[in-house]
Amino acid sequence: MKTVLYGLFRWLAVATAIAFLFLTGAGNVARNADPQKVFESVCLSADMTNLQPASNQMIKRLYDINPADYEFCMLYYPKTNMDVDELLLVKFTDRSQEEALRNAAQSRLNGQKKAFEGYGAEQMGLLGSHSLTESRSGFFLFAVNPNDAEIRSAFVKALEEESSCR
Amino acid sequence: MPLSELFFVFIFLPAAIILYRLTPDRLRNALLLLLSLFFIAWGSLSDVILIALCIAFNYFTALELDHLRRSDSRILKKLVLFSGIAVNAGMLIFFKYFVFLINNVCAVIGTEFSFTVPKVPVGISFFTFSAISCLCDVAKGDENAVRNPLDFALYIAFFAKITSGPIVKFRDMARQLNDRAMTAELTESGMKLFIIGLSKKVIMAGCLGFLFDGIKAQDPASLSVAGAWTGALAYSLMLYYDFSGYSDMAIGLGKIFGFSFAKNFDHPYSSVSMTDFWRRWHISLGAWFRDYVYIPLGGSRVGRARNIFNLSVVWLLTGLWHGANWTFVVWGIYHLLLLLLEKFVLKGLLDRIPSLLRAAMTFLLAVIGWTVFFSDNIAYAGSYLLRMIGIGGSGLADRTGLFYLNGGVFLLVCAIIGATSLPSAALGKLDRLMERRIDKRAAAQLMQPVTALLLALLMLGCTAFMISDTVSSFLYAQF
Amino acid sequence: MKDNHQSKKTLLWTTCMFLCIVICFDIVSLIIPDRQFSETENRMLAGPPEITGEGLIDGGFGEDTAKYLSDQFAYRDTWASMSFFVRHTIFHQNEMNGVYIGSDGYLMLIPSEYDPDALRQKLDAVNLVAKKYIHVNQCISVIPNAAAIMRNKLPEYARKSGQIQKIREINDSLHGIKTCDVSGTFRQHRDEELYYHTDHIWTTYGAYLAFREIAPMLHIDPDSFSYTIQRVSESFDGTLASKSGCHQYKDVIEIYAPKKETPVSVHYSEIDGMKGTIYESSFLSTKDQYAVFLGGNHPMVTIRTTAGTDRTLLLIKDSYANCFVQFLLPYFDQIILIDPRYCFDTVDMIITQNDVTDLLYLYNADTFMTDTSLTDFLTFSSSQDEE
Repeated sequence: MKTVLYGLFRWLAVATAIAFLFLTGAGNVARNADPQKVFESVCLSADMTNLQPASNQMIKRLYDINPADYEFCMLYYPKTNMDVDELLLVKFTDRSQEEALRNAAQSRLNGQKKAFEGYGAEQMGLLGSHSLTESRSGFFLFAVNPNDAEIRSAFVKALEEESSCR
Repeated sequence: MPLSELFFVFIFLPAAIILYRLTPDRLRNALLLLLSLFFIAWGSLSDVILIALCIAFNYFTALELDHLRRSDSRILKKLVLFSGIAVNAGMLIFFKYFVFLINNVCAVIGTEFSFTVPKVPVGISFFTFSAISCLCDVAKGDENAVRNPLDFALYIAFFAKITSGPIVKFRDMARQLNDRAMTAELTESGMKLFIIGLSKKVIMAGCLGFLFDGIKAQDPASLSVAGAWTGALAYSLMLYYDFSGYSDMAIGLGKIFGFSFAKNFDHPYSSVSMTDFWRRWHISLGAWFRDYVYIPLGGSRVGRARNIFNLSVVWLLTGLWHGANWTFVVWGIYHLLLLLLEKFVLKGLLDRIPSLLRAAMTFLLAVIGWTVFFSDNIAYAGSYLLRMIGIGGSGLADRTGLFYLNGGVFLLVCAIIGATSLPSAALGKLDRLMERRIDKRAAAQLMQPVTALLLALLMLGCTAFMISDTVSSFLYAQF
Repeated sequence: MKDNHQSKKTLLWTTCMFLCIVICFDIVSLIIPDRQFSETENRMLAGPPEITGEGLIDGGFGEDTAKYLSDQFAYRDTWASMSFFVRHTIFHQNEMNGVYIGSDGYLMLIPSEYDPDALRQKLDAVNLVAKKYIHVNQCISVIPNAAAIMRNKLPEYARKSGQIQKIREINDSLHGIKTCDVSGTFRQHRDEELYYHTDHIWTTYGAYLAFREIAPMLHIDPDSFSYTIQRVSESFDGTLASKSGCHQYKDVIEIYAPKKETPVSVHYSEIDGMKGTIYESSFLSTKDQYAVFLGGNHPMVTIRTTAGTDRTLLLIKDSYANCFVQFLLPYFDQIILIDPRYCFDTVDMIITQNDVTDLLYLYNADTFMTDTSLTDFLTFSSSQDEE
C-alpha cells in the first residue's frame, strides 16, 4: 500500500536525522576524562619546537590565574620572547572558572597581538589564524601553534575516548 | 557560502552559468541540484545530510498527501499534514529556539541546564517554510506533489534562495521546475539584478555598517540624541540595503537559471502607512504568513475579536521568526499595535494627510521599530529609545554623535534617496527622453551596452569592497 | 500607438561583461605567483588551503579557500585602495580600523580605553621600585601621542583623548621618581614634524625635543654635543598606513649622528655577536624602515660605549625609545634597553646584575596606559619561584 510505504520512508528520514544529530555530539557530554592523558595527546599533535614548560609563577604572570585553584593546569610557553607559540590546558569545575579562563586567554591573546602589532608579521599571522580556544567536558584549551587544527582534533578525540570508557 | 563572497561571485557563479548553458535541457535540474548540494556542503557537510533528510521526509509526505487527497480520506490527510508541519516546525524550533526556551524555563524554575545544540543548518528558517508551503499546497489541492525527487530537492535546496530567501511558495515554483523559458531577456535582467543587489549589499550596506558599528560600540547610557538617531538611521538603511540587496541577488540568480521569483522588496521606505510597509518589506514572508497562517485561521472574514486574535498570532510568530530573543517578540507586537491602530482606529483619517508627510511618519515609525530589532536585550532597547527622545544620555549632540553624523550625512542622504523610487523614476524619465530624441529601437540598442558599462563599473566597485572587507556577514543569514 | 519594434535581439551584454571580468581576473590571479607577505598590509598572506577530513566536514576548507582567494587575488592592493577611495573620499569615512584619517596626510591612532585598576597597579609597582632602589637615579617620561598634541589635524569632532590631563595625573601619583612632562613643549611645536604621518611613533626631531626636556633629570647637558642630521629615507610607509589602508603619504626618516665619534658595541639578547652601530641600514630596504634604529624590537639590548662616565642606564621602554637612544650615547658607559612586552626577566635581576646607576622609563602614553607587561616585569621576582 502506497500510504504505508510513504509513511515508512518519512519516519525513516526523521529517525536517521535524529540518530545523525546524536552521533555528531548534541546534548550533554560526560566530564571525567583523565587530564594527564588528554594533555599528552594534545602535546603529541602540537609543534613543540618553540615551547618550554612553565612554572606556576610564570602561569600567574602571563595569565593572572592561580594554578592551585584548578585540578589540572599546565602551560607551555615560548622558549624565546620573540615567539608566540603557547599551549594551555586547564581542568575546571564550574562556569565561573570557565569564564575566568576564557577571559584570561582572551587577555593573553590580545596582549600578544598588541605587542607584535605592526611589527611582527609572522607572529601576528600565528596569533590571528592559528590560535584556538576550546572549552569542552570540563576542559579548557588555549593554543597558539602552527598545528592548531591537529591540536583541536586530538583534544576532541581524547575527550571522546576518555568519556566513553566510563 | 554567502552569495556576496568572492569565491561565489568569481568562481562558483561563472562555472554554474557556463555549465548550465552547456547542459542539455533534461539534465539542467539535476545540474542545479548538484551545484546546490555542493554549495551547501561547502559550508558544512552535516548541513547537506540534514537538508537531504528534510527533503526526503517532505518528498514522501507530499506524495502521501497527494495520494490521500485523491482517495478522499479527509481525516488521515489532516493527520499526515499536521505531522508533516510538526516535523518541519520541530526541526526549526530545535535548532533555533531550543536553547532560548530552555534558558527561559530555567530562569523561571531556577535551575541551570547546559545543552549543546549542533550547528544550525544554513537557511533553516527559509527552507522549512518552503517545505511547509509545499505540504499545505498539495494537501489543499492547489498543486500536485512533485514526482521527480530531484526536482523536489531542487525546490528546497536551490542555492539561489536557500541561504536567505525569498521564501518562494511551492505553488509559485512547482510549474517552473519543469517548464521555464530561458530567454536572453530573462538572463540579462537576472544578471543586472544580481549586480545591483551585490552593490547594495557590499558597497552601501558595507559603508553604512561603519556608522552603525561606531554608534553601537558606545555605551547606550552616554549617547546623545544626534548619536542615537544617526545609529538608528544607519541601521534602518543598512538593513534595507543588506537584505533587499541579498534578495535582489537571489531573484537575479533565479532569473539567470530560468526561474521567475516575485520581488521581495518594493521601495518599502516610500510606504505611506504601516499596512503599506508590510506589503513592500520582506514581501515573501508576509505572503507566507498570510497564506499559511492568517487565512487558515480565518483571516479577516470573521468577527472583529477573532480577526484581532488572528493578527496577533501572525505578528507574534513573525517577530519570533526573526530570532530567539524577546526583542523580536516586542518588535512584532509593536508592528501589530500599529497595524491594528491603522486598521480599526485611524481608518479614513490617514487619507487626509498629504502622502509626503505620511511617508515620513511611516519611515520614522519603522526606524523606531528597528532600534528594538537591533538591540541585544529589552534593557538596551529601552535605554536607546530614551536617548532618541532626549532623556538621559549626553544631551542633544555630543562629540561622538556629531563625529558620525558629520562624517556620515552625505552617505545617509544618498542612502535615503537610493531607497526611494526616485532613482528608478529618474531612469525612466531618461529612457523616455532618449526615445523621443532618437528612434526607439536605436535607443534600446544603445542602452544595452551603456548599461553594461555602468554595471561593469559597479562590479569593479563591488570587487574592491569584497576584497577589502575581511568580515562581511549578512544580517538575515542568522535567521 | 506604441511602436513595438522593441529589438527582438537582446544581446547578452551584461552577462558577457560579467563573465569576462570574472574570468579575466581569475586567470590573472592564477598566473601571478602567490605572495607570502604583503608589505602594504604588513601581514602574512594565506597560502593554499590544506585538504583535511575535518576541514571538509565542518566547512573549514571552504573558509580557508575563501581567505586564500581573497589574499592572493590579482592587484589586491589596488582593489583595497579603490575601496578606501569610496569609503573615505566619497563617503567621508574618517576612521578606519582604529586609525583617524586626519588632514595633511596625518594618520593618528585612536586613543585606547584603559583599565584604571591596571594603571594603578602599574603606578604602585613603579613607586615600589623607586623606594626599593634609592641609590638609583630614577626618572620617567610619558610622552603624549599624536592625537593628543595635533588636535587641529584630527577629523572634525574626533574624540578628545584627555591624555595630557592623564599624564599630569600619572606624574602626580608617582613618588621618589623624577617626572618630566613634554606636553607643553610639544604643544608649542605642534605645527612642526613631531610625529610621523604614517606611524604612531614620534620623529627623530620629536625625540630630540623630548631629549632636551628630559636631559636635566638625568644630570646631562643636552648642549654638550651637537649632531648632523642625515636623511636616511623618504619612503617610510608606517604601521598606521597598513592598519588604515591609506598609503597616500611617504614619511621621511632622519638620524641625528653625533658630530663627535662615539664608538659603540651593541648586543641584542636573542642574537649572537656584537654590532658596531645602533643603526641597521639593511632595514631601510624593508617594510619596517623604522627598524633602522636598533633593528626593531628586542627583549633586551646592551650598548657599551667609550663615554668614560661610569654610569649605567637602564631604559625601560616601548618602541619610542629606539630613536631616542642615539642622543644618550655620549653620556653613559652602558645603556641597557628593556622592552617588557618581550622580556621574561625581572627588574630586580637586571638592576642587581648590572650596577645600574640611572633608570629611565620612556613610554608613549597609549602603550603606558594599556600595556600589562610592565607591571609583570616590575613585580614578579624570580626568587619566588615555586612548583
